[in-house]
Amino acid sequence: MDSPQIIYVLRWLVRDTFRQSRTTRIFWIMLGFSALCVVFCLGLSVEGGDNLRPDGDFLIDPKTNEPIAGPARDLGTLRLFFGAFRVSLARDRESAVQHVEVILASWVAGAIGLLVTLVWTAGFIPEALQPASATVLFAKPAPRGLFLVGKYLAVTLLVAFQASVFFAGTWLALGLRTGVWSAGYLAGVPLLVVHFAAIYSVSALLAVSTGSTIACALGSILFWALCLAVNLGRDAAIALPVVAPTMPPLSAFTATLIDAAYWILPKPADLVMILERALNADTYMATLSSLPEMAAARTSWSPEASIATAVGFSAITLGYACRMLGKKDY
Amino acid sequence: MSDRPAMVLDHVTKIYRVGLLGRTSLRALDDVSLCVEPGEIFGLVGPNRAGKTTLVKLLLSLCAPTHGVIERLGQPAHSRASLARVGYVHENHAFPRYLSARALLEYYGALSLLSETVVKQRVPALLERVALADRSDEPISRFSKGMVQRLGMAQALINDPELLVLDEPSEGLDLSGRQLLREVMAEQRRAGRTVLYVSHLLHEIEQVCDRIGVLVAGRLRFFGPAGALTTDVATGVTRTLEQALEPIYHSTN
Repeated sequence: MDSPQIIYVLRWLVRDTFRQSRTTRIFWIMLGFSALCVVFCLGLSVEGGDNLRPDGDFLIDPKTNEPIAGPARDLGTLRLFFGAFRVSLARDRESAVQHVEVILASWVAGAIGLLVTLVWTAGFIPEALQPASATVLFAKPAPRGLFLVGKYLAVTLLVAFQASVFFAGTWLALGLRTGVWSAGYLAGVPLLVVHFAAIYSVSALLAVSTGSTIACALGSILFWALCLAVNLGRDAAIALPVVAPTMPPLSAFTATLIDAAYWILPKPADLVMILERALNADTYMATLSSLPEMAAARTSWSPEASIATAVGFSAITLGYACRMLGKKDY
Repeated sequence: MSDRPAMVLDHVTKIYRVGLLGRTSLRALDDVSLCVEPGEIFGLVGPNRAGKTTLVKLLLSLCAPTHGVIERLGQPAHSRASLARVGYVHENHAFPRYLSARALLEYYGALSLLSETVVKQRVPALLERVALADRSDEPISRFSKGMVQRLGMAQALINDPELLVLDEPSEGLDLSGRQLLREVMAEQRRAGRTVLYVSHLLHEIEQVCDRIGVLVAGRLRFFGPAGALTTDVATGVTRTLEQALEPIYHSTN
């Protein structure tokens, strides 16, 4: 097979998967939910708060280590739902808007959105691999591995589309209403896609080995929880001598085991911290990385390595799934 | 087209591992050898669970033989390249129901590694051929079983195959559908192409096939012209294929 043929087949697999998704109700529900979030952002405005800096010394510029707190000269108000609710600002205008963006990116899209998407897309590959449909597809000359990669890429693109609608819509709405244009917020799209792709590769592997949608949905959610536990557990293990100096240290074997698992598996907490960093969240809210358990591990932390691990994990898992599918009897 | 046999099975055995841990083995095909020449219409018959579909799957590389060698259009079956010259009609198609007939043929054309131009050229003619031209943009979910089966035939012909594999294609077809099936087989024969026809419709097998193979419990019990079974050379008495096959189907050896 030459490259144009591969691209042509992949294009068709993507087109087919988008068609398949449009026939499901969740596709439209997710778009509708994004639209609701955009409306929520359009109903949000900030009055005053331009120079607001709360008194106290807890706001420190992480780069200069200089206090950036000051007297509150212009106490602002955050208006929600087109002015129906008013919240006094404890932050300046930009920080208040970015705080909303962090919540939208990490909780709404990164947690609830990802969970719903994992369940929704769990059936896409098992359905295509059912013997009644797969026997005719796999009697075609296109390699089985290409079919699986195409389906996987298509689902990932589908998630990228949904994430782009959500992030771009809310970013535009917030920008238009408040004048705050945080480019870092848009980093949520690639981060969410990388995050999803890593977990979904396990779903693809389960689809090939079990053919069950339920196994794919449950398995990928459990795997996600495992990755989160390993990520946070490893950070806590590193911070143990700092936060609990009286506790006996972990054995070398346990420490190595936790470290190995951390480097092999995707790192959901790290990806959240990358997003928080892109939005300078450390300067206006208590972030995940500001927790003492996390802070110690962050001294030698490489965001690039965290992303590379997620991408590498996806590639290896998907490669193994392709190999398994290639050998499967239909 | 090559002069080499369209399909060769050389001492092929297929054993499935079944059960929770795969400890139970199921011998679906047992030491089957046969050779089908180009331009031949070859019929495969046998009772249920005789191994007919397993033989088809092995030929199409949908599963691998436990022992033995399979060649398809002069190439080893494990090489997928020759699948580009094979068409396959399944007994019970489960096409994506959200696709239209046209979109399905374009999609399957892409998976057959045909160029976009060729696919665009062939699709309207094929839809016309299987009498679905006026329903080409409707979703398959609105199609009857017979229409889905005709669409199945169209997708099998999208690559203008040298070897057409029909696994109980009459399932759900009405009279016009069966007529279409016979015409397709006749066209293949005229073009010097090969057809593997698996069916329980013995009178049709007898009418259209040059040679037949009879599979019983995974073993090939007969391989040759149907006439050799239906006509007693010594007495000159003829009988139907059904009558001729009955003792073979029930034989234990």
